[in-house]
Amino acid sequence: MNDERTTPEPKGTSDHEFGLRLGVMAALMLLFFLAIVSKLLGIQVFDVKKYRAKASRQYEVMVTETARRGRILDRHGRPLAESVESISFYADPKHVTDPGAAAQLFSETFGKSRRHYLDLFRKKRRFVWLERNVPVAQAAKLMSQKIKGIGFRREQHRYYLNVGAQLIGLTDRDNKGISGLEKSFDKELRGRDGVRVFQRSATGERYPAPDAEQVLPMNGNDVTLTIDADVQGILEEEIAQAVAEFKARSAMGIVMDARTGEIIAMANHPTFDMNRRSGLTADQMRNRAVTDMFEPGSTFKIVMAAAATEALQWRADRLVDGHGGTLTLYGKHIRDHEPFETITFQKAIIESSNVVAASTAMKVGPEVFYRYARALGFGQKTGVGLIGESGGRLKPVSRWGSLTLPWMGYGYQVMATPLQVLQAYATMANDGARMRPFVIKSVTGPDGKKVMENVPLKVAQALKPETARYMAKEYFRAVVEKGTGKLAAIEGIPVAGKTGTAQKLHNGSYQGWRYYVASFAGFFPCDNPQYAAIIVVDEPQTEYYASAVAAPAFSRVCGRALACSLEMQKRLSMKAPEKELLDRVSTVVVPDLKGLRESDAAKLLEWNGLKLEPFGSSGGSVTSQSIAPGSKVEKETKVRVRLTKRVQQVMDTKQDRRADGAAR
Amino acid sequence: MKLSDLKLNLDFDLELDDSPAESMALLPALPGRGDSIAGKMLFLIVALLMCIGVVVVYSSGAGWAEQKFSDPQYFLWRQLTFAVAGMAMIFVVGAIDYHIFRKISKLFLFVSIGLLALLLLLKLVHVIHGAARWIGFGALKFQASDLAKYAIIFHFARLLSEKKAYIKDLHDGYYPMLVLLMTVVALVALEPNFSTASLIAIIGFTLMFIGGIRIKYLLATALPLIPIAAVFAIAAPYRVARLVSFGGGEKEFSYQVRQALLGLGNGGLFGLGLGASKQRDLYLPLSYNDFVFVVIGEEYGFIGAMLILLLFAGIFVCGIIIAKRAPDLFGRYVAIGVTFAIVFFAFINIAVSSHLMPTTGVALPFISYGGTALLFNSLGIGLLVSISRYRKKVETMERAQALLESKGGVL
Repeated sequence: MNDERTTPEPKGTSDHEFGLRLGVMAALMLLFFLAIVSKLLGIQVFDVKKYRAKASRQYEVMVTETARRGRILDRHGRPLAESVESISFYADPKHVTDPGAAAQLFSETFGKSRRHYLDLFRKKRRFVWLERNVPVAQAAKLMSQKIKGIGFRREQHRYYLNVGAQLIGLTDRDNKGISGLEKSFDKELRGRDGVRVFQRSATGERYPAPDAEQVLPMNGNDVTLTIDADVQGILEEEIAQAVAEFKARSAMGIVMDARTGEIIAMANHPTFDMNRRSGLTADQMRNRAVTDMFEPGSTFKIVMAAAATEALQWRADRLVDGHGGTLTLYGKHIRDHEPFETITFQKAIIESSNVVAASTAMKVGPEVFYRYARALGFGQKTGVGLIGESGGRLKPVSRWGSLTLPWMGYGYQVMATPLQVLQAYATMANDGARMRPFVIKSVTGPDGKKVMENVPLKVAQALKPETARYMAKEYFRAVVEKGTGKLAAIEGIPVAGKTGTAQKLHNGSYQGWRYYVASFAGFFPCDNPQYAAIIVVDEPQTEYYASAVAAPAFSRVCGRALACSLEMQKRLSMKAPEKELLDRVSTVVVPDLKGLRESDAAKLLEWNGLKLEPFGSSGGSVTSQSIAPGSKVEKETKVRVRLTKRVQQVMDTKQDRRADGAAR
Repeated sequence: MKLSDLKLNLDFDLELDDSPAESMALLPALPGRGDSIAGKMLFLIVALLMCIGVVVVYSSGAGWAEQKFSDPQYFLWRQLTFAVAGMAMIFVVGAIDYHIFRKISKLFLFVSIGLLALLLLLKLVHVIHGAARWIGFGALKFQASDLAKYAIIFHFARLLSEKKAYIKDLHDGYYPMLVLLMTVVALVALEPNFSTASLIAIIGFTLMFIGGIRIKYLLATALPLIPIAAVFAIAAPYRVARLVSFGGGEKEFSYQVRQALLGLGNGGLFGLGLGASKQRDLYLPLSYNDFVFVVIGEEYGFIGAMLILLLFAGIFVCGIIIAKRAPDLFGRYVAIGVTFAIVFFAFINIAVSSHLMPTTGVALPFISYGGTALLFNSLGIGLLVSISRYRKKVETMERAQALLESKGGVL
């Protein structure tokens, strides 16, 4: 062997050559090795940031957890609007490892057959809905169980008590307020959505990322209103009835705490169904009570009366000239509905003499008159804080024409919202102190802590307390006692107020048109006023005098409100006999239940102090009721309703209702 | 223990009567005990790699195992079983005389060629659909190309040692080997398994280069082979796709490549920690197999990746030491062939994982899940161990014989 190594043949190979060739191979391998090392160094050390960023994008998935929208509560804490959470279950059939057990579980919980769920699990798709929008209470058990391949989503539905539609407003699909308080208090109600970071596997399974920052959702704040849901309901019903009775175009009503400015109820008609969102037109969604201004007519005589009492020191028994029912100024006639000669100032007011109002206003003079109008809150926003509030229109004296002052004396050439008129009367009721009206009582955080609280705010001392008391007693109490406002009386309670029947301006003229706005603004009890209210009926057809249209509605609203509200009774510290009288008023009107779901119908009846007696398939919709809508019955009467589940019938009923509405 | 081994070896020696005398003659010994140290080191490195393999395959394959076999430990038990079997294989093969493979190398090669041909035949008559790569049943399935790879190594080692005297001759030295190699490579390429075919070709050529074949012959063969390989490479759409995804911008990277890079990059310098791989959660296909290196890089970072690389470099160094100190030429060439096959495959696998090379279906030796490949590689390591021990064994035997003779005993 040794000689082979020492004497290499040309055709053979040597150890030396072997070593050389081995070295070449080893060198190549070393190159390969270094190439790999440099590549790895690049990926794992130099470009590490780039890949880390990519990786976290791949592994993590952000899921927004919607915060629960806060509730809107009435003054007694009853929810007017609340978000009901519902749960929808879905499955990825590919990941459901034990379909049999899962189907069994769902079948037990929701009552559908096992087969139904098994069929769903057998679907070839990667996503199937198992159950949609089931109540949380029902779903809670399944939610706590982590079933492989099955997940759930929370969804929110805004549910309304269906009162104060225009005041409260609506939310859109994204849970964002789009009108009313839902819009103006959206920031408070909304809360803060949470973000949960999940880790995601390649097959789409998710599990909470342990080290990622999880932002928990913060539920929205509850907004408590000064509204009393009962009174609101009564008011809505009564103005609706007034509209129906007098074939009016629309109607508005406000009930207010005269002492504090809290608004107890604020209603508009026509209105809409907040839960079904049917017939949502701008016309129906407008909160007319604050957005619409009109020429108030005789209710505005409060300014003239206040100025005369305070500035001119006039008394109730002062004699004034009625000019025989017609006063001609600059070629224009001012007429009374009946001719008066010389009468007392008190009679002029209780009989609502335009002639006396005009001449008195002129005696007061423009500056003083304007000052009192402003002091009582006309020509400026009340600051109630509602969307679209109008400040009315009160021209500055410099722009007044020769006829402005006399006309303004009895409520023309000036525009005011129902709320402004009510505020003026509430100011008189509150011993001349004008309070800022408000609807938001407080805002409460999800933890129960008060975030914001509204306190009564005195804006101005418009009148001296004596003046206010004198006016209330001598003039406005008398209106109801023996004047145009007789029908506004509430049994057992002394009421003060004023009617207003204003002719509507049309195409710049009052001639040839028979369109009126009938209103009644008043307060009670007269000797120690607590509550003020206004009813405005726009364009009543069958009757137009406020004394016949608005005054009775005022009486019914306030009477029923007193009958059902313990708070009001307490405030008035009513004694038993008065209460008994009120209880007699407590007959209630049966509402129209057709087409409503059982739960809604029950709620509506409960509200009206009635009881529901269902028959037919439970959980369905009302197709007929034993007592016709609109009929007055004693409280606690049972109303039998037939419930039907068929969708077709519900549709029919809806159409019927629409037809009914049109007929009305 | 040693005596019984000895006896076994003696028996073999007695049987191998037709072996040419020259190959049995020992090459001159080099000073020092480098070969026995290298053998022990090799064994240690491989044992370490196998342990890492068991852990990483379990870690990276649990998700896939759960999904495919509803048992997260599916890969763990199998890999563990094969690792133990692999160890046993190293022990057994390390103890026997490696010359047995010299004797059966021809048979071994023809069996592999026969199997490869059989696979192709079955594919032609549509018994096998798709790529005809696997042979055998149940747990004892193996890739015919693995067998062929070792057959080529053994037979080439034998031929190179036998032809040592006239290895530079074209007709007697080079052509017969080239024909054999091309036969095997063509059969494997037709399976089709183009990447493995190329790798076998590279191993074959490397062995021939080491064995002393004239470089000009090798180059003359390699040059026309390159266009042939290029045509073959673009003949199948999947190969084109792989090449495009390798050469193109980041947008064109295939899903696997993108996930592989993401995993390595996310691992960073120190890694995410044991069992913290996210890529294995079904993002990275074959995370327990061809792309197991990605999971290592992700869980143990650059440091871990470097450790694996260095372990394979260690195998290379040990293999070269054993080859240089091999008792004879057959042993030398087998040692080089086996070492190169294992380390080269490992480097190729790592290069693919780190996007240094286009995607090829090459497993990481000793670590990737796959039982029979592990057994084949253990066989190779066993041989290296056996080669490293041979010289000492012979000396011991000689001393024993001398002792016996001096004492006048009878054999």
